[in-house]
Amino acid sequence: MNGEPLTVLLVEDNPDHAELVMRNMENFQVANSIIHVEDGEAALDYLYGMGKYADREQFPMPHLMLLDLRLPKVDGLEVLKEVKNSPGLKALPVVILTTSDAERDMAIAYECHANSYVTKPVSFDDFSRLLRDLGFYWLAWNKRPW
Amino acid sequence: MNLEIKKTFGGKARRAINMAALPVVAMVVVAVILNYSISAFFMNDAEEKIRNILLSHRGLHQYIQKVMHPAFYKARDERSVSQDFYAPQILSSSYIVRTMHAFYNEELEKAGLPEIYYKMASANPRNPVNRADNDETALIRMFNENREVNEFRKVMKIDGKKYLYYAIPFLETDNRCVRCHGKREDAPQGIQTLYPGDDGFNEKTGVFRAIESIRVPIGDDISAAFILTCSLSTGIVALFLLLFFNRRLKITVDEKTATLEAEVLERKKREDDLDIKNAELERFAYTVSHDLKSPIITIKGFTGSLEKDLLNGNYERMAGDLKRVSNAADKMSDLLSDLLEISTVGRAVNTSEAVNMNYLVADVMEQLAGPLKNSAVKVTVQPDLPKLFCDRQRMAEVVQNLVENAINYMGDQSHPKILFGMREVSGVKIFFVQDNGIGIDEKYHHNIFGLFNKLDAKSSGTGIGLALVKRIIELHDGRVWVESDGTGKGSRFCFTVG
Repeated sequence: MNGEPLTVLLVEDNPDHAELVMRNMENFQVANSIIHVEDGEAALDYLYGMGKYADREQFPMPHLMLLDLRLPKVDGLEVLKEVKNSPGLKALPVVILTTSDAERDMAIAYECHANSYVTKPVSFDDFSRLLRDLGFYWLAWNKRPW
Repeated sequence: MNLEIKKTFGGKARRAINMAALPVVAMVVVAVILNYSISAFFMNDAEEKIRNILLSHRGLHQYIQKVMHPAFYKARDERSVSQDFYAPQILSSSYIVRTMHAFYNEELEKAGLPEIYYKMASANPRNPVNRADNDETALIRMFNENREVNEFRKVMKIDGKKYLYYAIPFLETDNRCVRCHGKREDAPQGIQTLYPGDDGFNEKTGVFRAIESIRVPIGDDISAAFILTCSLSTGIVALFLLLFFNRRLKITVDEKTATLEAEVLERKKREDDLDIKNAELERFAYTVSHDLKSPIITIKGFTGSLEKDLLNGNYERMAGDLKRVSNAADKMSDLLSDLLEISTVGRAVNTSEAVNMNYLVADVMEQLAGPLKNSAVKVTVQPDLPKLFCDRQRMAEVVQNLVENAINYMGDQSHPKILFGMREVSGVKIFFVQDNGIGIDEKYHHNIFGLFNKLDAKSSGTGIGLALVKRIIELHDGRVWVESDGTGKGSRFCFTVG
């Protein structure tokens, strides 16, 4: 575990939000690399190592996925279902990071075995703190099976 | 006016009478037939009974005349009995049968049964009890004149009671009879002594000199027949009415059931419509809150970042971040005006008219001349398009959005083309906007029409265009869908108007 490069897969269609997340994560330097994809289809391609993500050296399996719900092409919930139904992927911690605070989305996400569900804070300070805490918790404190 | 009402009422009343007349007529017919057959049954029964009695009496007459008399005359011839002996108790069959009948009546009474009236009637009787009245005399004459008739029956009333009267001719007078009923001087001395006068004498052979008659009361049987008739007809009529009203009731119930079922279906449909509308509304509210919140996060996030950078004297990325804040505010402004637009579509509906689609499409292309030229798109419009009954202004928006959509998703097509046309499938006119752009994978064909849904996050626009098209087409009771052979194969957006 020590010295192992830690990778975060960020699935986010809004480039501004993606920039905010990456900026904050880089500040705390928990993750070694953050890979950003813009839609659900790209996320699944990445996880299965398909298409342009076939090279595992360049695109390693992530240790954490930050997943937005409202995505073009394949919806965030569909990505979640696919991951949690896949024997090879279901152990991957999936944190839903979304604008939506709709009860229904949260209920479905937990039903589909999301590991955590957080909404993007409007305040910049809260946004920073959240990402710091998320990074430390899931990448440092949390024990992983692999 | 009054006359008309009367007429209508008259027609209704006539129908009601017709309806009522049917069971009444049926009841009368049934009652008559029943009464006739039941009465006939009882009458036949009574007749059979008295005929049997009369025939049994006749048997006794025969016995006396054919068995007793020869035995007696033999005894007389052998001088065992005096040549002049005569006693009606031994020799008169009329006397013997009458007396026997009296004993029979006594026995009937003992057995608690009604007496049966019996009479032998003759126009020329030896005993006055046998004298025929006028009717009986007439009957004797009738039997003599009509030899083929061998019985007479009649229902008669005596003191208000009904009787069945039945008569048969007595045995035809023959040689044996005239021994005692011929000339007075030829008869045995005992008879001459016993019966002075000419009564019972001077009879001739070959005639019926008397009738035998019986009458029995039939009142009980007739009333039983009447009661039986009444109850049976009532039962049949009740059954008939029951069937009739059951049918009417069934028709009424069926009609009511059909009405209720139709109402339930109608309500179900309205509930379904409402469910769809509610789901749409929920989706709309969700989309709005999500999509409007998104730029706020951007603005707040980057202003926070700018603040930090300013404090730290880190000026490199400030211009970029300010641009992001500005863009997010623009995006929000766009979203708000789009929302305003889509919410007005439902409310402000202009009246529909027959619209020349060639003119309408030409108008739209004129408005989009700038973007079309910039993208070097070659536009083709099918000539002689049919007129379409629709809201002209909204239909122009539909066409405009579909064409804009085609321009936006041309990709790196070197010879971009757009075709506006119409094809007819089983009587339905399907209009379409066809392009040779990037196309759409089949799995996204459904959700591209959702509000603010975009397949490509980087593409221009808010993602309201197709949602707006869908809303307008649905307000026209039509349908909109996309046909595409997949990525890179171009798209064809089709719509119909109901």
